[in-house]
Parts: sequence; structure tokens; C-alpha cells
Amino acid sequence: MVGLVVYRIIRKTETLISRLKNRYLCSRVIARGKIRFGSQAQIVNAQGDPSKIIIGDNTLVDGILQVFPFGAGIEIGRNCYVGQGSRIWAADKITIGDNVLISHNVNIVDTNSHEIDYMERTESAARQFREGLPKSAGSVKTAPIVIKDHAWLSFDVCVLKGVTIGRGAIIGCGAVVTHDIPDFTLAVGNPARVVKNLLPNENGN
Amino acid sequence: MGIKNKIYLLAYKLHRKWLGVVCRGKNLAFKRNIVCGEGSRFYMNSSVTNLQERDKLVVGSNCHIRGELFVYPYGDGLRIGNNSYIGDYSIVRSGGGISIGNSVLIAHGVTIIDTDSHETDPAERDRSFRNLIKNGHPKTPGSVKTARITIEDNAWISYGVSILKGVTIGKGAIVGAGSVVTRDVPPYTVVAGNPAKPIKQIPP
Ligand SMILES: CC(C)(COP(=O)(O)OP(=O)(O)OC[C@H]1O[C@@H](n2cnc3c(N)ncnc32)[C@H](O)[C@@H]1OP(=O)(O)O)[C@@H](O)C(=O)NCCC(=O)NCCS
Repeated sequence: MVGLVVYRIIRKTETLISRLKNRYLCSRVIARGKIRFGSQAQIVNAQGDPSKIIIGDNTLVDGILQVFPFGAGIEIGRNCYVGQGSRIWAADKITIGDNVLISHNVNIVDTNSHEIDYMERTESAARQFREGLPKSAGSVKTAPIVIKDHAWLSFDVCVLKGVTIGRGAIIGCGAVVTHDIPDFTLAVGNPARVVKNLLPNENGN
Repeated sequence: MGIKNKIYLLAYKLHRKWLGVVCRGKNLAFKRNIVCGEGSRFYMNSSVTNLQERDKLVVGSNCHIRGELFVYPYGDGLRIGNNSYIGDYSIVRSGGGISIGNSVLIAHGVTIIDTDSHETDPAERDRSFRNLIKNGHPKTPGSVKTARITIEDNAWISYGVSILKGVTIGKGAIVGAGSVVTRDVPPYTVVAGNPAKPIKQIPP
């Protein structure tokens, strides 16, 4: 009985905190209409400037949006979904169109984050631990990512730097996308390969 | 911004401060169970479970741990060098023996487990699973396969990677995002894919 009361009080407090958090998150981005954040949502905007994260009307974000201290940030269109535990990390620019579905635990990261040369990497990581994220990309490979309208990314997908995912494309769960995926195709696997065309052909199949 | 909104934001920030205090307590509690060097930090989502003596889980100095460290009641435990990083929701579980070197970067969502955790025989698996639920982890691995994992200095494991039992990752090597590593990775090599295959060499 006591347990139940305590549980209800904790639930009420959690709802209150999540409402406060929602307001806080909304104040850190530019909302083009009515947007919503889920209970797991986080915004990490190293540039502080809300215009670096633009979110369209009726979009629900339950993942983590992170903008590095450099780069043009993140733009998400209307009616999109970003699932729990999914991370969108922009060091250059990530553009997501309208009606894009992004499942849980998806990683969309437009930078390698670290240097390939191990001595350089070790030094700059140690600097990062002391002073936080670097002020420029330096020699870390970084390239913009574009995900076009109506695309759907299943859970556990990774999208690497420089990739464009076409209109209406589907990426199967667990795929690691290292190259562009054309419009209306289905791609799966690691590294991801196109396995199906999603447009009906002339014979209507 | 209206005054009401400002109050809400302030309340939220106070809540964050409170979580910071909780996290400090967490650091003190964890460090009682393990051997830990100077300047190492455990963050909000981190967790530490050591089911053996204290010295079976060793974390060097200036490490940053955001994920989960777990040592079964058997095996040689888990040892992490200095200046290493383990990201959010990454899991390191040792039932055989895991050693992670100095300046190793492990991103988020990485799984490193040096044991199969269960038996291959279905009847035996069922029996020992029920025993586990009732009595907790057994004192010996029984017929569960375990094999040491070693990650050498300056290696970098990208996000979403799985590393299976028995694997050694060489000095300065890189494992690409989302890879599944089933075999040894030579030093100064970049591997990627499932199963992970070499894609590049790095000048040492
Ligand atoms: C491993 C990695 C660092 C190598 O980067 P790189 O040297 O720039 O490699 P490239 O982009 O030139 O890729 C070389 C080849 O390997 C393939 N490849 C690269 N990364 C891959 C991956 N994670 N999975 C499967 N294949 C991969 C590429 O498709 C390319 O294949 P191709 O020769 O057929 O065209 C990078 O691919 C990676 O995984 N980056 C993610 C790191 C990251 O985002 N970290 C953030 C948190 S730490």
C-alpha cells in the first residue's frame, strides 16, 4: 500500500520534471510549428545558438540532438519521428526532410569524431577530456548528411559522414550506410547494399 | 521569454544540479568496490558491478566512464589503463578476463563481452538460467565458453560495435561504426563491417 502511494508520487514528480524539461528543450531550438520531445530526448548545442537546430511542425523527437562547436547544425522537416536512443550529431550539416521516420538506436553522425592517425588521436582526445570539444574539425573527416522526404530508417542503423539517403528509401535494421542510397530503394547489411527497388516497374510488379 | 517560462527553466536547472549531487555520491560508492586511480570519473548513466574481490576490477587514472562495467564471480576480471574513455550505454562484461590499455577510446553503444554467458545445450542452459534467477550468478562458469579479450593502447572503437570473446585488438587499431569483431585485429589496421574485415592500414 505504502509502496503504491510512493510509486504514484514518484510518477507525478517525473511527469512534472519531464514537462519542465520539454519547455527547456523547446527554448534551445527553433520550432517551426508545434514540436514535441519524448522522455528520453536531449539537446546538446555546443554553439548555444538555437538557430543551429531547426525542427518542423508536428515532429516528435525522443533521441539526442547534438551540435558541435562548429558547423551548420541540424535541420529536421515536418511530421518526422526520431526514436529513443537515436543520436543525430552534426559537426558539418545534417538535413532531414519531411515525413522521415527514424527508429530507436539509430546513429546519424556526419563526422569521424577522431583522427585516423593514432598519435594525433590520442593527443586530441586527451585535450578534449581537459577542455571539452575542439573548436574546429582539424584533420577529422567530416561531410554533410542528407536524408530526403519519406525515408525510413529502421532500428540500430548507422549513417556515416557524407551520405545522402534518397526520397522514400528504406534502410533495414542494423545496416551501416557508408555510401549514397538512391530514391525509392531498400538497402540492408553492413556495409549497406541496395537489395530492392521500391518503385513499381513498367509491368506493374 | 515570459516570467513563467523563466521560472520553469530555473526549476529544471535546479533539478539538473540535484542530479549532479547524486552522481557524486555514485562515484564515491563505485570506488569502494574497485581499485581506481586518480582523476577517473564515472558519469550519470554509468554503472559498476564487481562480484569478486576489489582488485579484480581495476580502473587506471584519468579515465572517463559513462557505460557499464561488470565482473562475474569467476574469471580474471577487468583491467583498464590510464586516460581511457567508455561512452554512454557501452557494456564491458568480464567472465574470462578483459584488459583495456591506455588511451583507448570506446564510443557509445559498444558491447564487449568475453563470455557466451549461457550453455549451448538447451536443457543445461534452462537449468542454469533458472538457478541464476533464483540464486544469482554461479561461482564458476561451468561449461559456458569464455575467452580473454585484449584491447591494446591507443585503439579506437567506434559506436555500435560488438566485440566477441577471444578477440585481441592491436595497438592503434580502429574499428568502424556498427562492426561486429569476431577475429583478432592486427595493430595499426582499420576494420569494418559484419564480420569486421580490414579496410585500411595506418602508418605506425
Ligand atoms: C572506420 C572509420 C573511422 C574510417 O574512416 P575513413 O578512413 O574515412 O574511411 P572511408 O570513409 O574512406 O572508408 C573506406 C571504405 O571502408 C568502408 N567503411 C568505412 N566505414 C565502415 C563501417 N563502419 N562499416 C562498414 N564499412 C565501412 C567504406 O564504405 C569504404 O568502402 P569502399 O572502399 O568500398 O568505398 C569510419 O568509417 C567510421 O566508422 N566512422 C565512424 C566514427 C564515428 O562516427 N565516431 C563517432 C563516435 S566515436
